[in-house]
Amino acid sequence: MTGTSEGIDPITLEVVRNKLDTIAQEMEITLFKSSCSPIVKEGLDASASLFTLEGVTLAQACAVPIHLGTLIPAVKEMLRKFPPQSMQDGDIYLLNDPYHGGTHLPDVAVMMPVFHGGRPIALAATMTHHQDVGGMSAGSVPTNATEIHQEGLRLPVVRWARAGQFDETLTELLRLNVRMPDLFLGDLHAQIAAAKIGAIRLNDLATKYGGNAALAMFGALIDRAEEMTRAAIRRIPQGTYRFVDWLDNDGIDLDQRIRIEVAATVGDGEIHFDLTGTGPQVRGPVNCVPSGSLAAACFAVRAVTDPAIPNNGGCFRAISLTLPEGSLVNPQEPAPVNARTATIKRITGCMLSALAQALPDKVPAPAAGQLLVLAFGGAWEDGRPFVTAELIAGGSGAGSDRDGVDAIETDATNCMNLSAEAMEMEAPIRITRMALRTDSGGGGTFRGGLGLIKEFEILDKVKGPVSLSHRGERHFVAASGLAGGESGAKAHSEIIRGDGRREVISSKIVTDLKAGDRLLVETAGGGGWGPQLERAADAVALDDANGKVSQP
Amino acid sequence: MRVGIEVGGTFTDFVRIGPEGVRVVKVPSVPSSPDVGAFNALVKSGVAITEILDLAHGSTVATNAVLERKGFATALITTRGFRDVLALQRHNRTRIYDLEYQKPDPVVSRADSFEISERVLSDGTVLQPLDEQQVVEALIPALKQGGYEAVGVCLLNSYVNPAHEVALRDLIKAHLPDLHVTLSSEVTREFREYERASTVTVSAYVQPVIDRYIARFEDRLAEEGFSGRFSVMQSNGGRLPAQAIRDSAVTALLSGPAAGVMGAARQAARSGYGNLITLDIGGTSTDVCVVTDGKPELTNEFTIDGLPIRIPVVDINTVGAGGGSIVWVDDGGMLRVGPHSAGADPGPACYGRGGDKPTITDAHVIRQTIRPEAFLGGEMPIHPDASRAVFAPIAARFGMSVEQAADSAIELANANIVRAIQLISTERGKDPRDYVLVPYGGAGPLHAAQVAEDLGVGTIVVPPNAGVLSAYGLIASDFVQFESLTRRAPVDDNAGDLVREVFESMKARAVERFEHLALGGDVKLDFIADMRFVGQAFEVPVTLSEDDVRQVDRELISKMFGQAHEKIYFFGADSDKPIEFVSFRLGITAELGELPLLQEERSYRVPRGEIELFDRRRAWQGTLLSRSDLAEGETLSGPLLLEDPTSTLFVPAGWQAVTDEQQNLVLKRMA
Repeated sequence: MTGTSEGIDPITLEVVRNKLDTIAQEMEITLFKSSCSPIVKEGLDASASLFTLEGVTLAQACAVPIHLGTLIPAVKEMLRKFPPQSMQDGDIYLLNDPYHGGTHLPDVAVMMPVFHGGRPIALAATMTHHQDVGGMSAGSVPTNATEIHQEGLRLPVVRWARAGQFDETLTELLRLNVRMPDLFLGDLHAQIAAAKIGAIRLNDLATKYGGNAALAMFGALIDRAEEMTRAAIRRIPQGTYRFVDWLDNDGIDLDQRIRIEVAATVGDGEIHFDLTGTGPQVRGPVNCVPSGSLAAACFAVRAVTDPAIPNNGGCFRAISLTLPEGSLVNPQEPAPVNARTATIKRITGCMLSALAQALPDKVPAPAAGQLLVLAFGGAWEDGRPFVTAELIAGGSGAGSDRDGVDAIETDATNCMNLSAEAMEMEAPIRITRMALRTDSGGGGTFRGGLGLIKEFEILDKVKGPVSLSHRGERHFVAASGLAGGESGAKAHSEIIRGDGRREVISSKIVTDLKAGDRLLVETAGGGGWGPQLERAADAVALDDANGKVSQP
Repeated sequence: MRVGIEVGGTFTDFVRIGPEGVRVVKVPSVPSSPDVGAFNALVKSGVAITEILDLAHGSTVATNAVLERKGFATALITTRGFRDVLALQRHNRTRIYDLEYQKPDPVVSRADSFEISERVLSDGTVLQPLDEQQVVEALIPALKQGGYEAVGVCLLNSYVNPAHEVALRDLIKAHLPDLHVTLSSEVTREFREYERASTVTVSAYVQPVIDRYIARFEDRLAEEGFSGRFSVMQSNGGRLPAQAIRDSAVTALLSGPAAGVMGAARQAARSGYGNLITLDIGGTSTDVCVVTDGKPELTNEFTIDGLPIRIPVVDINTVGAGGGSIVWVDDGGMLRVGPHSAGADPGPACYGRGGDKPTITDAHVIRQTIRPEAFLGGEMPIHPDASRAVFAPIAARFGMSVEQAADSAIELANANIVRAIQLISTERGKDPRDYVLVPYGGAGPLHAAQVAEDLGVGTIVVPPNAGVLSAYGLIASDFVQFESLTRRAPVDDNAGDLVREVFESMKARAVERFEHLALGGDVKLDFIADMRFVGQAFEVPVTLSEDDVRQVDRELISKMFGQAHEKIYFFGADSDKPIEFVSFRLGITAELGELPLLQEERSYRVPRGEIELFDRRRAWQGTLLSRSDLAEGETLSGPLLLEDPTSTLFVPAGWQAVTDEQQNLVLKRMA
């Protein structure tokens, strides 16, 4: 039998690949199931990875693409400060600072070495979006932050446990800096449990195949994924493709739209994304450190090639990025970054829409690509505090042979909404309406997906004001159509005060609500595809019957 | 005499157990009318219908009605403002990289969804009474006009206070007595409106289908002079009298896999095995389930065609690895198996129906772990040359022999199955090494040993007639019904009283329902509290015995929760974080009493002889015999190929096989 990679038997290699993916998935299952915050369970905003000692991804399980490759800079930073030979079995490391390998402060990386035969052979790491890490507002996603110091507790890479012994001083420090210390510690322990499972399973694997053989196979698997990625990219027509889209504003300078520009150059088995032309870093928190653009690029490439390619460091080798320093996508300290998700979504959309020119039958028209973030915080009438957050999607873009999807998550995120009954159970808020937003899908031969309407009312069971954080997108720039299709409807939100006054929200706001106040949100629709006049008669009739279009 | 008839997608399996012994029949299913296949099997078996005392049935009729959208016109009624609940769903997508992703298609469209003015708050208080005038003047005429056969009702927060749902049903029934009305609070009394609405909608949608199907089946039985008990399998692993299924059709969804698990659990229990991992390998997929102390794990998280159904079902994990799984080479030059399948048509190349891709079944034929003469008891022609031809390019690519290539494909298929088992056991906090493996279905017994080795499992128990075990499971199952109730409350000093109060009220309701079905008498109750740390998004089930309920207090329930949590998540046993109850589930069971005795059917015989086969990268000399040829207590060492009329069992080198007194074939790994 001729092994194709230095004599390693390809069948065993495939079995080991399968096992590594299983381990990452087992870690992820443990993470989801044992975490406390809804944002992990309902938002699936967490991921688990295995790394080589050189910091190359070995396997990753992520339910949300925004986590793709997200731990790479964190692990690099850990290895820089704590080289493997300094590690002991049972060590646990933490990091969240975006300017030292993190993403944004709520995402805390928990990392530990995997020991086999008395030496470290790999690293197990997990990343969780925590419900609160302190800072100027509950939930740690202040729309009005202007520097990172307002966004919460910053952790450079620190060793939280040495050989299984926790640093209690650090634990106390963590507890003191967040609003809900039990929840925070609970989720951190879920991350540790997940990493431990990874360490146990990887040690088993090394025992079965031998430590050195396992390490050799890790290297071979990474090379294979690189080959596969390059082969898949070779199927995209070579050339440079460009796209420009906009973010509404940064939450501070409300009249200033933010430009995002992507030039995607497909070469021979490689792809380069140049974001030159993107606007400078902004005062508000939508700046995005480089790991975000990497996640966007990985998502775009997987989506247009083959998602079955093993998800390891080999995939990243065929992808390169140019991110101008001091721009929105490579900001300098102390620019705030908490709301970077909106930026990553728009970058992903731009990358996909650029590639749509090369792959017109594969990539649909632009989606609403918005994930409205709502956070409410306050106290029940008996004084108990509550914090609840919800993420709301718009419509997706139509394709060359199909309508867009109504109220659906797209591109780099994949969150569930919060059920009305769950929110009413958690907070003194009533949902009065939750409906598809008629006429919001961009017209076309194929119609864009509809956005939705949701209405909240603050009940009189509250004590004092309820803080509202509203982080919208697509309020000013619609999702455009493709191939002659029309744009989707823009988003719209307003507060209806108890006395009937209406206050339109300019995409982003942090304000207070009182009992009897209502919040109405309408999310954006996706772009249409092809001329509307060519829409089939039966599709028009069905839209009419289902009330998706009011005047067909 | 007892008869089980299980109608699957491809085959209808029949088992009869009576004083004359065991009779097994397998006939092709008739997908358009499952009852025809069922009666075909009855006729072929030669059983006199008048002599059947206990007839248990499982079919895909409800499942197919949903998958093919062949139910009757159904409407949904929601609280004003929420008619789009089925369209909005939960926003997430299940395939994140799929740019052509579509949401699961609800069985009720937006045009068939109606709203009614009323409002209950999350604490159960009524903010706005049900607008009865609106019901009578607007809703009922609309329902009449729409020509609906069934209506599902899902009002907001009805899980805590169902009064408006009940009142609405009474009003509708008063005006439209023939309409099937299904209430979300009766199907699944749990919070989260989309999941509840989806459950009640699917439930309402399949109701008339099941109702008619059972009526037709009963009519035919009556014509033939049947006077025994007719029952239908549910997805929770228990059955119900056919009459009762007509009112709770949703529990019949996907009952076939549950029947297989019950058959495995019951038959293995006879030999004293309570902790099992069941392994059912079919043509296109593999079903895996964990059974602890003789009981299958149940779950509330279950979907059909992407639509959530929140009722307790046997927790079966399905992976796309089966006999038809296609073997291929990826861009990185790695050999892969599945998830694509050649299905039943054209099927594997060896079927000779035009399949031109290598499959796992072909790999077995090449390895000679499937003998062409023995496939389906010899009733189906097999073409080994075709198998070799489709594997030749793979062999050439890797510089292997065709046998080695086929063997590699089996090794990879097994790795996929092992992965499924590891994930399900991790999710449940179980270590597979504490379990025995129970394989069944057409191909389960062929793969079991290698899967067990990789999992570190040392014992395999193969039931008799393993290829039709689901049909046996039907008649080996108890009568079971479940109820659930969401009741969020802190674990404080009143915890004991709260548990007792909930238990007593749920028990009273369950017992009354059972008595109504003439299933009273000795019943067993299973009581589960779904609990979590305050703020946690997921609940941990804590099982309470009746004794536990009597003595439970804050300390005991906290301890039980801590232990359950620790087992799954590796922390929690010594935590002093606040805990809360979220919901409660109660299962009521009327036990079967004496189990029907499953034995090997003795009509199938092959002469014992030497064979050559290929396994784990080399050729072996092995022994071929029919399973019924192995005398009780006779121990043989692998490699062995044991055949019965329904499946082939492969015992590789390193394993010993012995038939025990219950006629289970027990495989032990030799040290």
